Amino acid sequence: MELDALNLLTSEAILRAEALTDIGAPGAEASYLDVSLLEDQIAQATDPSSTEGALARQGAVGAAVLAGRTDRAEQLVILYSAQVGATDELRDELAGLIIRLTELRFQDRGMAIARGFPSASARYGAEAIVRLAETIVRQAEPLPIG
Amino acid sequence: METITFYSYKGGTGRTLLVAHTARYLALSGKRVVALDLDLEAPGLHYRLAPGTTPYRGVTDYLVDSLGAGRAPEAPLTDYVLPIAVPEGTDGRLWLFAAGPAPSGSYWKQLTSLLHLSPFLEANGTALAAVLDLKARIEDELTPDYLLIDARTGITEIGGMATSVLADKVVCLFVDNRESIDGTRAVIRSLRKAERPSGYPPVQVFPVLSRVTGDLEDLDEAKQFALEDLNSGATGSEIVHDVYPIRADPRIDNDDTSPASSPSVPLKGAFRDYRFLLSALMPAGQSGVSPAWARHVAVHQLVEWLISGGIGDRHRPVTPRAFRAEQIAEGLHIGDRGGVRYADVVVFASADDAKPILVAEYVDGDPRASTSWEWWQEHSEVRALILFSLSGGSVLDRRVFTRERFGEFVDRGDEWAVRWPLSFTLEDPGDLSTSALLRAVRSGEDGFVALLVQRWQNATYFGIHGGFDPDPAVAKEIIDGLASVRGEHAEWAIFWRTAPDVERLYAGMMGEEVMLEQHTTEALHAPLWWRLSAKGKIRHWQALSDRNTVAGIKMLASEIMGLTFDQDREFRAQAARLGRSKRRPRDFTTELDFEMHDGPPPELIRRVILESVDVQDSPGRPAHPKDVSPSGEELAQRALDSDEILDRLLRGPDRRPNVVTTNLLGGYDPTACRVTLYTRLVAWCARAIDCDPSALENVVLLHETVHALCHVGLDLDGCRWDEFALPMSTGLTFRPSALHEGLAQYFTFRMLERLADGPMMDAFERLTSVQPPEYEQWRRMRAVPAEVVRGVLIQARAGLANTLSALH
Repeated sequence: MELDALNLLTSEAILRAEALTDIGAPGAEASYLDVSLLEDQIAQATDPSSTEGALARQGAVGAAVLAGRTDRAEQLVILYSAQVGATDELRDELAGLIIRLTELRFQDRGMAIARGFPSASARYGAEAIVRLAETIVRQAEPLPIG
Repeated sequence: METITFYSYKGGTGRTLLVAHTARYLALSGKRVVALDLDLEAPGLHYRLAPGTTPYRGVTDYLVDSLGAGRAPEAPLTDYVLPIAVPEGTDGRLWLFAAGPAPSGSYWKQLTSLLHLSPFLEANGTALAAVLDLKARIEDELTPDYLLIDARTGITEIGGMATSVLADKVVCLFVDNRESIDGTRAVIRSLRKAERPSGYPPVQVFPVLSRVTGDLEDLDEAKQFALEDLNSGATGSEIVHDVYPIRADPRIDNDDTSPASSPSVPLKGAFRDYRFLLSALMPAGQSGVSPAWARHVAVHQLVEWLISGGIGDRHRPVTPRAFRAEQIAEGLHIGDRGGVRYADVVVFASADDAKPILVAEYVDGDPRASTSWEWWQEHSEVRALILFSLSGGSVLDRRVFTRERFGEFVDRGDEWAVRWPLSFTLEDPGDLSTSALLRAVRSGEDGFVALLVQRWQNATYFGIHGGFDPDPAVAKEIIDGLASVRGEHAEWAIFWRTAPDVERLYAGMMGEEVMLEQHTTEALHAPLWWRLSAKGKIRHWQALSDRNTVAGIKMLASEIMGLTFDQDREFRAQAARLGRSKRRPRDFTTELDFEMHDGPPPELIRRVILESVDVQDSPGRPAHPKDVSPSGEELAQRALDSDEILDRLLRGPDRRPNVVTTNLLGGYDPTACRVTLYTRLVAWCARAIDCDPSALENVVLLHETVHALCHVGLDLDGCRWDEFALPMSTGLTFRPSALHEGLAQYFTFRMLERLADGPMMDAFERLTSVQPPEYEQWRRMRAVPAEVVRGVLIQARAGLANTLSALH
């Protein structure tokens, strides 16, 4: 696909994800996965040392975090950091991005949880619930059989 | 609040039942309990805790409301839960948080909405927050001591939430088969390392091996095997240290000596196993048998007793069927006249009829001292009440009250017959007097026949091992009462229950049981066979291939006529010809057959022809009745439809009936060995002589059977005299055979004397009074000993001379 077309699609996906997040739609987080996939497509078509390439890589990793797919974000960071042309600055930026956005996401989600589910938040901590949910998802099952 | 999740990898482990037991027991113990049904795809907890009730809303609705809005519903939880009744005076509370109004279309739609709204495994935490919020609200709003969760089987997201996230303790049920054990082992090991909310300790797991059969030794053995299986390849924290076995049947306990028919012993069978499990689950303050536990177990012993089968075997149930589990509910508030009261057990009229007919209330202390019955009498319409308690901590002590509709309670002591639904067809379900049971059978309720037969046996039989006190009055009341029963089903039940059980006899039944069967056959079945309706006995005779109704015929042949009747004769003759007789005589033929015929009898045809001959005195009149018989039969058929013509044909000049028995009311065909009853003529005759038509049918059938036995019966030495068949009436000048009819009437009279059946004897006397002289000889002969007449019969059958004069 042409880079221009990818950029256009990515912009639309970002707008959509942000709008869904604003209205608290249940599928908001999943929509960031679309953004991550599109940004990754742009990243594959661009040089990591270029400004556009660096932004696309940061966008792919950041959107994965916002989608709650930290595992994917971490894999992308490993992949991008090993690419020829990846600068140390980009590597540091990507690693820091995961930490910053994850914290940000926990805070945002935690605030939403605290607003919607005050009893659970008071008992277990709103951010703790989000972290637990993510851990469970990362394990793929509430019961980690096998 | 402690949260205990009940989980099973496979279904059919009794999980939901255990949740219900635990919930009720804890509530009885004064605890506040919420029972939450998270088996959303197949919910069933409401069947156990609120039978007959369809929950209006449930946890599915709550979660749809939560996830749809992204926030917890503002409505209080009391809008979603169903309070379950607990006894007055206890601090306990029990709420059912059902899955929803399942099964119903609206429920499945709501469940589909829930699954579409949000997967429970979602990293944004909304679903997890909603579930945890629910738990927190339960704790805040209902303040229970225990939250009990019935979790979904298998590996599911919601099941995982219920076990690894929500629970403090998980009761993990499994049964003794490979897939159940392998799945349970994997789940237990996973639970030990499952992620938990921050600050919460790992889940405690209690493996429960359910549906164990056998006694205590089997229980220990099953437990050891299960431990070995669960610990296969286990290391470190994976090792399971204990397994709690639960037996399949609460009544099973081979080390108990109480009679099986008595509801007793609170700590036996599965209840003792439950108790051990609950002690491990809730160790604080649970030692010993608490009053709450005693009450809980007593209730379940009572329920088990109410639904346990009747006495007897599958061939011969002695008592009626007990209640079905679907008719019984535990722990409900009942009352409809200005107040409600807690009933430990409620029995409804049927699974579909919510009208309570019996309630049972557990009382502290002696039920005989309790005045609770006054409340139930005043404020309810239940027809039976059981007040029960534990006597000496082990045996159920009870006091039963029953009443007629809108009547007052009658104290029935410890009578337990109220466990039969059939009893509630009686005017008073506690009135099991013989007269009440006979009234019920006569009104078509044949379920009491077995009970009456047993009562008759007790009143008449004194076997080699002793028996009850003989009571001829009761025996006569029963046999006379049963003899007056009319109706297809009830009569069939009497025939079936009193006839010898061929299967049991062939199964090698021995000794006293055989003697009792024989006694019942000879002294009850045989006379009843003659006294019940002719239609019923003929239908029964024709339906049964093994001819176990032959006792009535044998009674007439041997006891009255001094002959034998051998229905196996043809079979054995055939078997002898085949050179072997090993085959079980199953499809043998009898030498007698019976039929009811609503067409014209030969004697009516004869009289029709005679009348037409007189009227049509023309040159072309036929010389022999056979020449006109077709038209004669048509005329006779027409006569049957007109009482006026019948009156002309069958009454004398003085208008008195002029009837014969043989060939008019009944008949015997020696070529087919068939006894026929001409029903329409018998009905006309009964009207003409003003007697019971059913009794007259029986008299005619008896008379004709005597003719049949004169023909096919064997002398005591085995001789048969075929030539002594009753002559057929085919000629216009036919006269009854004085010899045959004299003998038939005499033996009929003797049999009627033996049967002591008032209506039959009355019908016989009235009939004889309008019959030709051949039928009246018995009056002069009634003082003659039967042995003398039997001698005459033997001589007549042998063709010896002067038999008629001997008879005279």
